Amino acid sequence: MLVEEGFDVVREHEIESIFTVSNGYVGTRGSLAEGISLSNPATLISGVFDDVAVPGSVPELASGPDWTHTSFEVDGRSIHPEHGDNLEHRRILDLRSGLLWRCWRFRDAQGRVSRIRFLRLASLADRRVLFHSVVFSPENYSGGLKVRMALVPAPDRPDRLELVAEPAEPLPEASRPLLLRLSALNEPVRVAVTARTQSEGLEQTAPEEWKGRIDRGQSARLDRVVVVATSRESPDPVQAAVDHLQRAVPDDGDEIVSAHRQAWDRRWLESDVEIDGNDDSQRALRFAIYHLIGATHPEDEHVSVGARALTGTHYKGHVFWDTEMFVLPFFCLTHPPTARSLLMYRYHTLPAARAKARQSGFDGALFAWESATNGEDATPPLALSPDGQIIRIVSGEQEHHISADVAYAAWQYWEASGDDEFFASAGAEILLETAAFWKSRSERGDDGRYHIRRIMGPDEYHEGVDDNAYTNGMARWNLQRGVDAAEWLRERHRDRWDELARRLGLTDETLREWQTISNALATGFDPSTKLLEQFRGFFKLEEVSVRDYEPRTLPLDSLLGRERVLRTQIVKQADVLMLIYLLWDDYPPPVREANFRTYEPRTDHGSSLSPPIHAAYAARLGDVATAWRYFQQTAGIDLSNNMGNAAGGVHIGALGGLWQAAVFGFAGVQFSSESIDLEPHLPPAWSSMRFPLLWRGRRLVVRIEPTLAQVKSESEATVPIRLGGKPVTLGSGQTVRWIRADADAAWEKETP
Amino acid sequence: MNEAKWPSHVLVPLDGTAPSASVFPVAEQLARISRAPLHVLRVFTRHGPPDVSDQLGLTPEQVQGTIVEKAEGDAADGILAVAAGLKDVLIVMAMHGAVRPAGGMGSVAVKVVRSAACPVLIAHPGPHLWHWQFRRLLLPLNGSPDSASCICPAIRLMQLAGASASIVHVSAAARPAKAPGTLTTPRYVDQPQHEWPNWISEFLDRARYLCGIPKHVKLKFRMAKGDPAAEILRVAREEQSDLLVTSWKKVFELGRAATLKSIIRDAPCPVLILPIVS
Repeated sequence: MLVEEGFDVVREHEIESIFTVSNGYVGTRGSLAEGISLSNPATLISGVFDDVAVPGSVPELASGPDWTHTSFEVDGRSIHPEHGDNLEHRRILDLRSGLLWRCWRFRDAQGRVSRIRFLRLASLADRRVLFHSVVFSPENYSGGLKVRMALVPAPDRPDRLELVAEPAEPLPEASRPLLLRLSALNEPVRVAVTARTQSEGLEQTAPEEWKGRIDRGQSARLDRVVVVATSRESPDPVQAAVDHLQRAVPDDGDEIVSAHRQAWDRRWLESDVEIDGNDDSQRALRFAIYHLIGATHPEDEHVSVGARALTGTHYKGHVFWDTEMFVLPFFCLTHPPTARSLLMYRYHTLPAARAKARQSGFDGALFAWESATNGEDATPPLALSPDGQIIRIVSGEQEHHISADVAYAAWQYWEASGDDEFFASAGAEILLETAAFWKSRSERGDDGRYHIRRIMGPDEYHEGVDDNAYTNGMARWNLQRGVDAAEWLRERHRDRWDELARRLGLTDETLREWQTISNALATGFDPSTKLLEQFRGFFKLEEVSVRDYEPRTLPLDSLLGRERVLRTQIVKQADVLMLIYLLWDDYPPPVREANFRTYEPRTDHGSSLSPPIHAAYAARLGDVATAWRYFQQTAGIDLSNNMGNAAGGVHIGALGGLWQAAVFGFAGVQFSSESIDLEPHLPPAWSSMRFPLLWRGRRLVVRIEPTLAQVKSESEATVPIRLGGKPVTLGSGQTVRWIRADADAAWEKETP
Repeated sequence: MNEAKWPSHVLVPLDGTAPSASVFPVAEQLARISRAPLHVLRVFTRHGPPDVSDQLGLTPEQVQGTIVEKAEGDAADGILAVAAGLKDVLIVMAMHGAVRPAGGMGSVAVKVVRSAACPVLIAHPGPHLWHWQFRRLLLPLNGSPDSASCICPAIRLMQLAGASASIVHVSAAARPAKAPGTLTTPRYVDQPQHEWPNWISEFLDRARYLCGIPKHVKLKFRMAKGDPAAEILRVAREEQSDLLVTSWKKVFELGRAATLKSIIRDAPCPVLILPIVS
């Protein structure tokens, strides 16, 4: 449960984000139904973008209708939280059931005390369905109650785009469903929202109005079910919404709630990470999992997850590498259909990625740094900083690592799921086209090595550098996996290979070139120091201790200025460390250790994506104290109440990173197509952690305590597992346990 | 939204010297803008004459229409006593007398600022105030709800005067504030092209609510980095601000309120000091 007691109006925007109900198709912020001074209600529908269509504008996720708007009057006087005494006010997000509750006791100027309870959900059982219920109870009076529930376009705000109501039709009769039609101004997308309301204790007197006399001790209840449809799924969203409401949605609100609860139960069974010993960690992880599940729609492969998911309009709903590198691993091991769907979104944007590569002078596919509807790059070219500087944004032009990131995610999903059909039909093409990109992006130098010049890695403080270690390392990997994918296709899916080879112009010579470039691409590795240089010349830059600037509330590029930071070794976020974290087995332990000790003190964590990777990396090193510090920092990104970070939506990448810090870091889970590996390093604050994993169709339940590691198979097939590098084959329904004398001792397999 | 209310009295203490009298046009204009009675106060160390009108350092035309007050004893105590009697009042006074102290404020001003429970406007005395006009207001906001909430009176004055407002937020190396609802510059700027406009929007939304600034009032936003006092003063000069508003927690001891003291010392315009009421 996530509980917000009372009112803190200035925090309303972040509370609305945190308390969003979402099902991957539609998300509704946790705004108060009556609306208060700082309310920012928004219902966001996945894939529904608009564009102001002026030079320099980019598509942005448009705010849909406010379907929760409710107002109350008792004997003609309004009941509103800003005009009276709020004796109690509590918002409760039931993470387990995906239900947002609100309990409100209000005393008006006449001394009348009313108790109002609200329930809201975005159905996970039927993603087009939204539901809210209101129960009104007078505590110390009897009087006339009037309730209005309206379907209205989102209120106009200067920092977002709203869907607009289409020309009004005659209001439907009270007995018919309400209908609101909206459309984007400059995009060919239309949305229809229809509602049906059932009342107990009140009479409907107008399409959106209910009245009645209500006595002390009695209650009136209104249940409203709302159905959303868009022109993305149906050419006639109005008819689709009305039909769905009439044919597929139960009349009984309790049935809707029950089906929704069951859907969440199933997802939690597949996903929950249970922590004993630290309530804050437990709450943060479940908060993360709740929003990860709510952000995604496994049955729609034409949408992905924006940086703030469906919880707010900040970042315009744009899709970054956050999705593939931070969000997707959770789904690879808990809900493969969702991971597949996210990757299919990228597959469907291959035409735009090819076009971007061509426009940039390269071959293959260069995915958009910021992607919206069709994969065309939606990165704004300029930014105006609050100190009046115009910042030229080059990430859209230079952060080419996104192509390798997508390829890595496709391969990772394939390894985790064993979904050969996906890989043959889509994943391999992603690998091949991104490998083709890296081939054209690499230049052979006088030193006989290949180089990638004028590039930007995850460390966005340094633009236009040569041989960024992350980019080159991922490109090497991508080229090699391109060769592997080609060989696999040729061997297993000859027809598909022939078709792709013909269409993409792939020959044996192409594959040999990929292999050559992969082998000869500069790495920046110095065997004498065991360090990867982040880019050529990095270690010649001024060395600055990031810790000297603590404490602070802003990133160092803001504090010191971009020009100054450009000349220093200050790193925005995990870059070399991100590479090693992703390709862990490619780097021996001394290299992992040396690079962490070098780059961690130089890292500013100017991105919310950085602390979770440092947590996971440090945990894998066994540096649990450092890992714990970064884990806690990550947990506070959205949930701390004194930073305002979450006002425009939760940081879905950091939430995915938090799950990785726990499962890939503290539990030390790694996987390949061959086995599942564990290397636990539990923080002292946790007495145990327990979580399920789904690997290649086999369900496992992992339990870790300071001196015990246990894996239980709940599937028929055998599972190869390694702990501390020692392999074990887990049979159907079997449990394997390892024990150790203390936290520093080696693990030993327990013998029965 | 918080309510914006401006004091219903304006009190200007004078000691008969030209420096103290030079702030009179400021007090007069503020009283006129807000339609508040203007009280002119002369404090004597001993019994003063029955009629003090000719001992204020003002012309008869200036005195006309004011309410002349008289007090005896310590100057600061006298000012504070009269202000306490008026209850809902703004004190307008010169920072110092004929000699400018190193810290900018004379001992009377220091005592009044430190002890007054009401808003105090202080200004460096001089002829530059004779033609003072209130057109541009500068609001430095540090992102904490407390300091923003007490700005409301200045917003009311701005509306009454039809003045414009600029907000400046100075980012500095500092420990994150613990108060819930505090919004400082974002610790994480994942992508500046998105983060900055979103953050400004959020900062202004909260500022409007806390300071009582209506939606239709246009605000100019400036962010600065570095020493808060130096940056606020720089922006005040660049914006040609006529009034700089600052809030503080009434702790003026050695080593505290360094920003406030620096602003007062070097302000290019009158400074309105609003006490933070917890």
